[in-house]
Amino acid sequence: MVSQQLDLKQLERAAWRSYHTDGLWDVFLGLVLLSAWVSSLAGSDLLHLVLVVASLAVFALGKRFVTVPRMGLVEFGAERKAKNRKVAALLFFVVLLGVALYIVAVTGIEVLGWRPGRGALTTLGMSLVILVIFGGIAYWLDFPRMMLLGLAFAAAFAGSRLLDSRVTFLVAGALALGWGLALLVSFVRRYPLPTEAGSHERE
Amino acid sequence: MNASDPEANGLKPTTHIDRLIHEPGRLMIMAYLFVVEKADFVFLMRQTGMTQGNLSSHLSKLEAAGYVEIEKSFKGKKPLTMLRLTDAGRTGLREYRESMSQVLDGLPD
Repeated sequence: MVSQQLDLKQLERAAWRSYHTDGLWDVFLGLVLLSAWVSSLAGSDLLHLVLVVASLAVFALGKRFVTVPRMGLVEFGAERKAKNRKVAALLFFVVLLGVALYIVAVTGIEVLGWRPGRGALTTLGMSLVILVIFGGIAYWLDFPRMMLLGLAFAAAFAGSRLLDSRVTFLVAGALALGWGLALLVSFVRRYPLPTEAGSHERE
Repeated sequence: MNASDPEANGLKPTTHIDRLIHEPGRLMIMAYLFVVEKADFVFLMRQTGMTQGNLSSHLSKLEAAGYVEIEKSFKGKKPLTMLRLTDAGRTGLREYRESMSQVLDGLPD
């Protein structure tokens, strides 16, 4: 350690990234993609919403009962918190945008002379928006793998519109979920539960 | 001129380097606690790769020096040890870094 450069930023980044080696983001987003496919089979938007909330619960419970007991509790510094707030704001904006686009698509109203069609240009534009959003999250979260997940989302979305089939969500979702589960298994093997987790009995 | 005097030989004095922080294990603990607001015992164990006993021993020394604040509590039925660098610890690490860079500045490439 002494002979190496004491790069505190690198140290903080490595500690932060170690929390994302659990694969739970991949599992969560894989489930979200799969929920789009399942709800299309049932033809129910309510089911889609329920499944997305359930996916979020899987993510939160996984962090609570798998990641934290193995990696420990940590409160990162102010700079990292500010980045996380940016991600939260971006996600809030995405949700708002999604709701707005849903209303526009359902009602068929024209917005500033534009009506969402099923053309290649609209599809490409919306896929790019998805990529930009995931790019922003990947950048602020210091989590490059998020860009790959963004690609899965964009490809599933574009494919479903161009092929007029939601099976693309099944393929992308299964890939993301499979990858996430493989990471999760590897994480659990690499970091077994400490024998006396957080114990101060010995101190 | 005293030949054994480092300053007389053109070397920067190393006597002001904090030996408590200079130990590699404790330096690593201080560095991790410097970049976070607070963390628990398991976090430090995972990040530093130290054993429970080794980490406990280093933390006791850092706590005695007033560099680390140790807060013991329970989360449900499980014991939880939260650790945080004190202001003195933050200042100590900054000064250590400054001292080391001063000492090593003159080394040839």
